[in-house]
Amino acid sequence: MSDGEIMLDVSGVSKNFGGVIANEDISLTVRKGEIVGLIGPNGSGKSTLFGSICGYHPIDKGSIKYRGTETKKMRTAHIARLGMVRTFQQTHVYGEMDCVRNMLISRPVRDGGVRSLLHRPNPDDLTRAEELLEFVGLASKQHLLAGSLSFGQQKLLEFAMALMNEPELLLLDEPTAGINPTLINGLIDRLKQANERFGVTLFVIEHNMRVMMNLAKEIHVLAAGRLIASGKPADIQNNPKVIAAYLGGH
Amino acid sequence: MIKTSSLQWLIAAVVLGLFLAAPLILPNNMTQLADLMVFILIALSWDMLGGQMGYNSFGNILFFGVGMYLVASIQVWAGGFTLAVYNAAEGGNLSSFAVDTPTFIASLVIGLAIVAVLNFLLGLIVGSQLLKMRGHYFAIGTLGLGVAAGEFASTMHILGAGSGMNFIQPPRTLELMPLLYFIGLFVVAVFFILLRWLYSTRFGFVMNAIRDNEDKAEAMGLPTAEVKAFAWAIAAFFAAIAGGIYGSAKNFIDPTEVAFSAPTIGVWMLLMTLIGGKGTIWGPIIGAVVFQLFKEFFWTFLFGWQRVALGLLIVIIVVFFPGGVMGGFDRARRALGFGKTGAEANP
Amino acid sequence: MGNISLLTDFAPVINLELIANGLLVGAIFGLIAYGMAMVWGVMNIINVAQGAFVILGGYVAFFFTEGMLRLMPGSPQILWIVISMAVAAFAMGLFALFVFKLVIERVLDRDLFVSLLATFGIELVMQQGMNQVFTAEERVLDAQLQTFVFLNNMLNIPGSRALGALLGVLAAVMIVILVRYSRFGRAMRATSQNARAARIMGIDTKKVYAMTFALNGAICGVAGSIVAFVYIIHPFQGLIYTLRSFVIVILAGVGNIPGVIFAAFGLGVYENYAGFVLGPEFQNGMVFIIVPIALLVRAAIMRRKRQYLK
Repeated sequence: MSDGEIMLDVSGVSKNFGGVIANEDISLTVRKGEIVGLIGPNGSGKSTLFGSICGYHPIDKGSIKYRGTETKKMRTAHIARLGMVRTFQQTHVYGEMDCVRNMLISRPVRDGGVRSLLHRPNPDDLTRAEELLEFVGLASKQHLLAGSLSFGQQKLLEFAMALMNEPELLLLDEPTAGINPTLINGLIDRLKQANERFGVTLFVIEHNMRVMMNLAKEIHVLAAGRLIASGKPADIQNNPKVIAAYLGGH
Repeated sequence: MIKTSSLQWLIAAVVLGLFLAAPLILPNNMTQLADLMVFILIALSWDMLGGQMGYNSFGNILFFGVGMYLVASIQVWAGGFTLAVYNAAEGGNLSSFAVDTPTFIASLVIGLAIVAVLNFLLGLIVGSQLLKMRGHYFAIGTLGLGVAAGEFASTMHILGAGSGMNFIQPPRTLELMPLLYFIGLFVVAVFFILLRWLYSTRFGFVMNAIRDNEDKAEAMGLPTAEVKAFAWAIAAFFAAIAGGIYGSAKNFIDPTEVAFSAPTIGVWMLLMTLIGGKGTIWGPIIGAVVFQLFKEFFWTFLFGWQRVALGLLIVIIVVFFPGGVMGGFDRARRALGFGKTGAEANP
Repeated sequence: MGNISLLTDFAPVINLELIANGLLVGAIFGLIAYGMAMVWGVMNIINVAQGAFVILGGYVAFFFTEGMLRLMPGSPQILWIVISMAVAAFAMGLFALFVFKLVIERVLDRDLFVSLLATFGIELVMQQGMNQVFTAEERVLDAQLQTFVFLNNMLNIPGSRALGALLGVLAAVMIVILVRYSRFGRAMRATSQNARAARIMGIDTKKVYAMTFALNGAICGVAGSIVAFVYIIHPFQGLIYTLRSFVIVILAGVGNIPGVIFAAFGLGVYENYAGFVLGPEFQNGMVFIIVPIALLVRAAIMRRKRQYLK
């Protein structure tokens, strides 16, 4: 575990949806430069936690701090502008535009005003967009409409768009789901590169254990809305509580 | 990826040339030509919201009507009269409220400018609230607003209430229609250039992003609320000018039939854009021309049933030709093997 | 606005009358709103032509009644009015089916804006068509019922309104029973919840859609015949019924039947007060303006949860 700055400080976060407890009293931290994983059986509240962190819904209890700033009352766009960006399980891209346009729109926005938008996109952005598309392997598809790409390709595009946004902390919701198994290694590699080369801190939800163990240095485990274990991959793999959770203890 | 810019400008220049020459080619249709300019303005402004941003408004008529009433009022005030006295006068006595030509023209032009700015602000205010809604809720909410405006205007005696209000009679020596036509053409040209530029900036990209996936745009930090409000304000700006010109041409404002007529002009904005092709810059222009032709045809040959025919036209276009003329061009292009996969959203 | 003092100081009993009349009228609105909610829930179509259907139903009822009276002068008007409800229901049901096959069916799987625009086009065609065919003359049926007078002449309840409300409630009850207990009703509910699942279970969703739209037509026919003797029938009166229904449905929420009833009564009372306090020429405007206001209120409530109206 690095001793870097605490990027994300989740403390005592609880969220329920009309009586159904999605997250209960969750506390964890993510430090700068780390790759942290979040795993758990289906329905354990992982995506909900991401949603809470990124401002998709208000939380019932607890606090969420991004680099020391309390974000639980902030709107999603504001949180994204601070540097914390998320990708989705079901891909969200701009279907009616081509990939390059998707990338150009994903340029970082630091102020919430309109004035800074009243410029033509500058050539540096175009270069960077093409580089990132190259990085994820979509260079040959850059002029196709995003909506016409396959699910796996859209996921890659979404990843590239997220990187284009120059986030400090990137929350990835099942980045390898739906990707052709032969391409997964390549994706893991790129995720690591994003972390090491571009300096992006990663917080990743994954179902694919091989990917998770390969990628993350620290893993948190959710089950039935609660955090049941945290630690290094090797420890988590042998943790009886974790094994029980996956085998249907609940 | 981008259509040859210079080709586009060439086409625009040719079209402008045609429009400039129009009074010489069709001297007896100046009223229709002036109307056409108005139609192009409202179609382009509607398309900003509906076609480029995905917010289909049935209420842009609000700015159209406000613009109309305000320009009329400004002209009355410029003549040194008060609205109360002016609107209390019966029809025949209106000639006693005369102004000279310079005053008339100046008050018209300045009036249009003032009205545009005021409606820009109105658009920001109304937009900041109404644009919090999405989809059909936004559509019907704006419909309620637009129609309500007409009803409330009908109650205001200072504006002539239900009987409406007349514009100041133009001086006899003044050729009003050509004047309105050229003012309209000028504004259309300015608007066209503005939009070409706007749609090529990041602002335009954000507008399209809002249309395609607003949640994603927000998630990526884009200031969607501000962009939406600003876009609507621009649309309001030009819709108001259009209203001022249209009212001037008709010379008479009826609150629910001319000013805030959601079932007619309010729908026409939409229909024109659909006919031409939503979300393109030429679409609304082409649509306005085609619509004007349909309208003249219906009004001349189907009198009495012309509005029924228009309603049918809406249904037919919506059901069978949702892409409009530009959509048709696109399909043809792809069928012939040109162009990229999918429609070009912007020039 | 001086009318407000009338309400509070001079004759507070007028409040009773405004409320009572508002409730009665609200019953009719509720019926129409229920039809709209039904179509919206089952096939995700907002029928902007709802009011036009009502008005057309009113014309059917009007001409039927007038026609019968001419054939058999001296017969009780009220009898024909009640029968005309069934006639209008039947006629409008068929008409709705016709519209469905011609237009609605083709826009079912397109996005909501397309269906909104399509039904708007239908509204225009109907509105203008009725204006051409029936002229702009206001049509009213006279139920020849007395006005019930209570409390020393201070509380007047027109008999026609009372009857209209009663019939409206009756119709609503019949429809609710139909939806709840019949096979068709179950098929409707299944389709509205999950159309794909319903198809897999063997439900012919196309037929459900058609019948639902036709049933809505029938509801509008009944409502129209009531409007004919409670209010007036006029070609351009359709839109305000549509907007009223829309307000009621969005305030209540699409699936919320008790909510629809509440909201309908609420709207009736609100309208009455607006007309009384501000003057009748403001009544329509106040109804129209409540649409964006209600939406904003609803949206504001949902914003607390960071959601938005879908």
